[in-house]
Amino acid sequence: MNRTTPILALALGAGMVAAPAFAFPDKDVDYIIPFSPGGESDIAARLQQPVFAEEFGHQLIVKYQAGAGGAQAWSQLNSMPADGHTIMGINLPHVILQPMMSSPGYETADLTPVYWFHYTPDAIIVNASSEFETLEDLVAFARENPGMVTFSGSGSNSANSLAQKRFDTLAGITTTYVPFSGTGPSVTALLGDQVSASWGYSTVAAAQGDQVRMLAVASEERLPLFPDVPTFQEAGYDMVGGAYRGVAVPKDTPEETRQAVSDAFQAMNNEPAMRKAMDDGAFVVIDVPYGEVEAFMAERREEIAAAAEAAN
Amino acid sequence: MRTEPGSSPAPERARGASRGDLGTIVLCVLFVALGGWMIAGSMAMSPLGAVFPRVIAGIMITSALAILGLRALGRAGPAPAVETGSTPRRLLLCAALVAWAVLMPRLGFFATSIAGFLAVLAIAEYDRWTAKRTAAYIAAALALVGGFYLLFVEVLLVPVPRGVLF
Amino acid sequence: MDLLPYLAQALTPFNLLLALGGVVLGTLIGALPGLSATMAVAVLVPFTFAMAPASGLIGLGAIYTGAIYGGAFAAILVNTPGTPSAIATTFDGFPMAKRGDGNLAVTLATLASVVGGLVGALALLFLSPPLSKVALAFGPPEYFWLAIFGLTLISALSQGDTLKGILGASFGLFLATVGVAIVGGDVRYTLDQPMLVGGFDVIAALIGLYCIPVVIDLVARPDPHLKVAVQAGGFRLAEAMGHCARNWFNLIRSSVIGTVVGILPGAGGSIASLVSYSEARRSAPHPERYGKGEPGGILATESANNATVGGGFIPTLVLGIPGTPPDAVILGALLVQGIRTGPGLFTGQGDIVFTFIFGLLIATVLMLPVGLLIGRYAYQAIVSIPKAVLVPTVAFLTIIGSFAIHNSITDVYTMLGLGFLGWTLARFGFAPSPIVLGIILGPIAEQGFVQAWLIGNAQGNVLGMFFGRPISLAIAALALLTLLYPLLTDLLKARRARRAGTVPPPRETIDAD
Repeated sequence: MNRTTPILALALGAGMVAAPAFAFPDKDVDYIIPFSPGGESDIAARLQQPVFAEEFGHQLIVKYQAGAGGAQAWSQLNSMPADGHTIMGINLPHVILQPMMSSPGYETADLTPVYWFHYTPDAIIVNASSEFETLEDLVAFARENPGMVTFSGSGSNSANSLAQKRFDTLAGITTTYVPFSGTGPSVTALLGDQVSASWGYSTVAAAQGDQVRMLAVASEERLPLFPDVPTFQEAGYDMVGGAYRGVAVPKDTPEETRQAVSDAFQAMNNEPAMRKAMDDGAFVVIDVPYGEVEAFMAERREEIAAAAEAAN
Repeated sequence: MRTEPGSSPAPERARGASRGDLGTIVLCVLFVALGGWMIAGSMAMSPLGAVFPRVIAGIMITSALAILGLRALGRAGPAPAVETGSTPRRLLLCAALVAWAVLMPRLGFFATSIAGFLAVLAIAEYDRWTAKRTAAYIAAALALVGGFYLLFVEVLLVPVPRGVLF
Repeated sequence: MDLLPYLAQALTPFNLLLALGGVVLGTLIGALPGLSATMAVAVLVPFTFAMAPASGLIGLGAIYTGAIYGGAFAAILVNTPGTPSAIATTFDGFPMAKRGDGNLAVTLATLASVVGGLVGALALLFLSPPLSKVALAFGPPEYFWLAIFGLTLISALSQGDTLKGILGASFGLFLATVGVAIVGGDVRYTLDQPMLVGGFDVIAALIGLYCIPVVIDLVARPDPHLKVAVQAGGFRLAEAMGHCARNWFNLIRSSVIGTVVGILPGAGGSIASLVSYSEARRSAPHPERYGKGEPGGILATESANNATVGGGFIPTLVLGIPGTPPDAVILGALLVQGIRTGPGLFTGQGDIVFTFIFGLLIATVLMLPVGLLIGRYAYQAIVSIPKAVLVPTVAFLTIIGSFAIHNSITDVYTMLGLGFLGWTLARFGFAPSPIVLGIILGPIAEQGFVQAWLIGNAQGNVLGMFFGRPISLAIAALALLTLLYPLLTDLLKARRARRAGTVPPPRETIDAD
């Protein structure tokens, strides 16, 4: 992308040419969620909707394009209108794992994320009636009985299965990961005592309330909603991460527009109401603006590649 | 269901039945081949991923062979219905549907749908074309396609392909 | 607990209007192939944010219940199930419409949907906390056996040629394995095509296998689509009531099955209606009439799928686990509104929950007049519309409907490809229903099997996982019974006849009473 083009356009005095690139948003924005309605990505978008409308006077119109774990939408992103008014939710580790494991129709490098706004940290969750009171209980039991501890989780080669592999390596234990077709069935199996524990996200613990107990959470600091749940780092395991969510734009979107979209999400993230809604749902707000996206992605790629390698 | 009792003379029915038999045999052979391909493909899978494809392939091959075996013994099942009706129209319809789907992302949703609607309408029409009827049909096409277009695009927020036209 | 104040809250003019509008909109959307209840609910979620939580929920619940019901129209009148829950409704609904009883079939579907909806909503009102335990009692082996039970239906669906039914089902099971496996993560049978990585979409397959053959055969001949019964017009409500009275036990049993299956996350309306259809057929005095236009078949499937609405809300509200996909959307809407689900919901936020449940009940009752009216116009429209307009309309709906599933042209190709294949297969005696059954039940069976195996292996007790759990055994026994029942009754009849010293009368004469 030629960075001088807009400047040139301005120098020529042709404000008309460059105007679309700077005016974001000047109409309603199509916000494509590559998953089914009802999931975390959808909930996040729904929380952003009113804030966006208030802040910018235009609507964020949420549309769904679920399929193949998000790949169906991501593989089409670059053929969509590149004027900043079509944006798409983007998720980690999905967009790194999928091209690594199969041919989903896109490469990680094809995608243009412009902002990462939050993550849901990985967490080990047990049934409230479980014998495991602390993470140490579980690790000690798993050490004595290799393979006996069963974890439910959402999908194979997913954030959950990756977290299980990472933790097994860190703690030097062997556990059994049982993949389910989504977070719902995975949590059902946990509540029904079909498995000993579940790899999920902090949001699951928040949604299930006192039916479950979170043993540890992979955030840097304890979550405001769960002041008594230790982080993995506190328990001695260097594990921070989870499922990251952000927005991406088609690759032909001008640099200025990318920055403008990034600024808009920054502004939304700064809203106190947004922060509070995120805290209440046990999301962890992060701010990775357009300028830092590349470094952030490189870091995650390394992390995920290492974990995926350990898995095989 | 598709047979017309009494309307088709006996020889034609017999010929139709044997044609049906041949089709069944060809399909069963294809199913056996598909089962074989499934088993071959399952060799590269993880043990857990391979269990189901192999079981399914086993059932597929067994039941296809059983049908073939029963035919060979002369104990065929009920003969499939004889097809009647216009085969050219059927083929034209299939072609029209494929063209509709293939052209939609290129030409745009609305334009393709109007064209596709009228094409399928023409294929399904058996009566004589009068000016009045033609006008009514075009109006119906515009109203139905337009109505559903608005429902999908404006109410249900489906991002339909725009293409080069509209 | 005094519930009456909540009923009063649900009866405000605004809530009534919402319930009415929701049912009308839902019915219309459900009637169009490819437009699912999930989509209808998701689109309307943002509008509910401006309303009081209970009102918003009533609107969403009404749309949901209307959409499940609306699926019956297309199933009966055009032989194209509008939603997966209406698959089994085509079995008897379309034969009825074909012989000129389309209006009766629609009225039967309406009555059954209201009964089923009421049973499900009443269970939600009075039995939620205990029933939510059912969702938790179902583990992987139970889902595995449930899917196997569903597959035993093939013997019923393949009508005469069971081997072809089994072969068709195995083809459906094969289609279900294409793509990235949920368990294990293997990439299976994709031929390295990115468009196949996500697998074949169930709805696209459904539209293709049912609608395309209908369209292909419609253009082949000039005669009208449905026979019009001249003498019997109107709703035929009294006649339908008579069928309901005769099938009262069938209705109740199907509604209970629907409620219970609705509670199970991941099972849903299609399985509920198939299971209750199989039960209705098994226990009917004349099982051989099923599939040829038997009113009992419609009553079973339509009461069961509408009962899943109330049933599905039970785990959604009590456990925070959506029982069906539309429930997931509604759960998301609840979370955005700041409502926490869980056991505390019924006590802590009873005003919202109970107002909503009453709203759902009211919407279900409203379905009766709304359904009868819409049904009447739909029936008249379908029989009076010139075939040359009906065919492109259905074709147009199949294309846009399959596109709208994922907003992707890939699903349109899938739909057309499977449609042409389905027509060819049907021509040689392979019915579409076993194939669809395989596509729907395959993933449930496989995931249940592999999960049960993994857990059993970890506990060192694989056999106990599959054969040592009471619910599993009960479902397995039911599956066996469904498979062997026709055989057993024939044997018993033959023995009784032999004892009486007479030759067993051929089936045809038994039927002709």
